[in-house]
Amino acid sequence: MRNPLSVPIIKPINGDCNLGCHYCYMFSILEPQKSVRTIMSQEVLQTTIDFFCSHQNDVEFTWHGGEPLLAGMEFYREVSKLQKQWISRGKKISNFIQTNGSLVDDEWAELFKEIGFFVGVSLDAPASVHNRLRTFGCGTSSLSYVLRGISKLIEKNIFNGVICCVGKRNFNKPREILDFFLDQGIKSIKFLRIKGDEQEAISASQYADFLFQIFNLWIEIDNPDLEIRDIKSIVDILLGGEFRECTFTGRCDQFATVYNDGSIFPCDRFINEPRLRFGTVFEPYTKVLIGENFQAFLAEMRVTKELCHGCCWSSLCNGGCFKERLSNEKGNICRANQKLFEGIESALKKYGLLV
Amino acid sequence: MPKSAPVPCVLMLALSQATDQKDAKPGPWDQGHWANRK
Repeated sequence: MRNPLSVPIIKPINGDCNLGCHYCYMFSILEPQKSVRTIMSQEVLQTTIDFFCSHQNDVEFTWHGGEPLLAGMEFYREVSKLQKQWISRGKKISNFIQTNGSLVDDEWAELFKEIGFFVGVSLDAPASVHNRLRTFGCGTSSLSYVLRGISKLIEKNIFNGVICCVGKRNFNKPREILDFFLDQGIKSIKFLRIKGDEQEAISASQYADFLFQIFNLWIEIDNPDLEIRDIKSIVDILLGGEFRECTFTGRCDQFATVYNDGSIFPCDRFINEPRLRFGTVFEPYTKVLIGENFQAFLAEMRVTKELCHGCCWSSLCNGGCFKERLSNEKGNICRANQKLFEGIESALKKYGLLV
Repeated sequence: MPKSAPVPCVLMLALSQATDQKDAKPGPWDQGHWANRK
């Protein structure tokens, strides 16, 4: 069992990015601040690493943005140097970084290989959708740069798969999406529903239908190397395995997003909500845990989860994403997920894997 | 009793991994916005 606030998501440049993706939730929130790029200082970085390493033996850091590569190579060399001090004291540390991939060249790939970072890339599919939505500020597509980056990471064996956003332009193209990824040699995929953007967003029901089509294609293609993480999580849980999707763990309290000034929030879906600022990395871990905001967060998690009492799927989804539990879309999300779970469960029964 | 359809490789693999996971330690996790699993 992991401790609360033990899975760090670090945003060394907050939401700053070299792309201007049309649906980006960070872009709309942080746009007023975009003219100023502030990289996490050495003092905040050291304190952040100490904060998480001092109270647990096994720490997985995820570096996130905006575009985290904008922090520069020296920043990540420093990360590695500071972490080594804890590794020499017996701590086990792993690092993952989620990038838009456009800046990854030989030098970056070499650095990540050297310091042991696994790299996930955001890539939409098919190509026409990426070209339209994931552009530089000037409107030029980032696709060729991103694919170049992915090839460098695959070469170094540090590629950690893609996250593909699903919205109005591609939710009805599941086969084209998988074909595109397989053509690029990409076999680890996670999907993410576009929400909030009027032009691009799809409903929970459309997204669940999309995922069910992806599930059927996954069975049809039947390539053991092809991992679709959203689907795999549901299948694993139905077959008695472990909860791997954060939204199904019921343990949102584990995640701690640290911004470049050292402030701690839960997952970044709650960005800019002052009531969910738990404290800073400059405070003792225990003080943050007993703090008023964190305790209120735990209480709210419990109360909203009680709404799921009586649902036969609650042991699978554990109440789902806390942010979604608070939204007025909750009922629709539950109905969509239930339909998806039933469809997958029924297929597993057909193959005799469930009774 | 009706015979089940032949089980696809991906599901056989999932079944075997799910069984192994029962004894594994928790995590790493996939979070909504990012992926940190290898």
